[in-house]
Amino acid sequence: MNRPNDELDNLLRDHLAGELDPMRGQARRAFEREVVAPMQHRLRQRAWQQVRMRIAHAAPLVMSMAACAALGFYVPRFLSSPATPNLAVETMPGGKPAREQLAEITPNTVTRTEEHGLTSLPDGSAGRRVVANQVESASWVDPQTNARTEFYIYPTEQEVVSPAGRQ
Amino acid sequence: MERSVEELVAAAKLHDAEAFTALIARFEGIALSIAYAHTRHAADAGDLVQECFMRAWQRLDSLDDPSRFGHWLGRMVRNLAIDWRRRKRPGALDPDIDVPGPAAVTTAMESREQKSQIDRALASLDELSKACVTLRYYEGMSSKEIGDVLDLSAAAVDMRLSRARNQLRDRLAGVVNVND
Repeated sequence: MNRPNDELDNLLRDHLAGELDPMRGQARRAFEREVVAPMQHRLRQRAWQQVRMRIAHAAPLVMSMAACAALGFYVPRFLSSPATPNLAVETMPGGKPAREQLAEITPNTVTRTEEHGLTSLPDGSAGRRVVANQVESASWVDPQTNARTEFYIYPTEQEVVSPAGRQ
Repeated sequence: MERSVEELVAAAKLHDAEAFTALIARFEGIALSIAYAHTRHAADAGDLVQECFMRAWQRLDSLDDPSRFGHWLGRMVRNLAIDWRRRKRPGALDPDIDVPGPAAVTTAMESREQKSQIDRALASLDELSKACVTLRYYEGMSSKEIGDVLDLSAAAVDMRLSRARNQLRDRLAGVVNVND
């Protein structure tokens, strides 16, 4: 039955190989497509989920560390910054304390009077009406940078009525 | 070092897809042989084997003895093939019907015609005998190995092979030189 030289045996072997050999590998490919690939996809998703969870857990710690680092870096710089001079002790090139220089504010007052003519007083006599407008300002110039600062006080208006006979 | 079937089955039960892929590579030929014996068409056998291995992956937990994987798989292929035949269209052509005699076969016949003749000769065998023939000639399995897969004794396999061979010799008298 199993003689290798038998023509029928060879014919059957060749025929079956020709029929079934092309089918080999289909099951493996189907298994990889239907099972392995989705499984790997799920594994990758799970890995990403774990990474995201770890990031979410680590984020507050990282932010706290960053905040601490920022405070440790900026606060000492801020405390020792030359931009905020110690006015109590720092002196200007002229030798005068800076606070004294800052106090040298120049006041300026501008007054303008207008004659508004005669008017009658409550007792029936004639009187003169004068309106006075006054604008006050103060300015300061930084001797180091020549920066100019000017303050204006809201203008005031005053009306004065005086008996005309007194002139 | 090649892993044993028992090791591969144990690993596959733990959802080791690589181990199951190795099992497919090792048992695909057996599954194809059995499926081909039932479907009589290689393409249908290929589809059936795909379905069978998918089902085997899903039901691997029901296999108690890993060393019996081949037997378990063979039974699954046979059950699926029976279902497949039930689902098959009633009007589908059955190769059993058209079996011309040896006189119709000439030595000048084209290889395609020869293939068709062998198909018809194989189709004339019963499914179990055809499975024995396919496992012997395609997979090169011994009678005992074939018996393990098909739930037969080695003697029963030998008897079926002997009868099948005689039947095929008669059917293919015009194709092969009968010299014994």
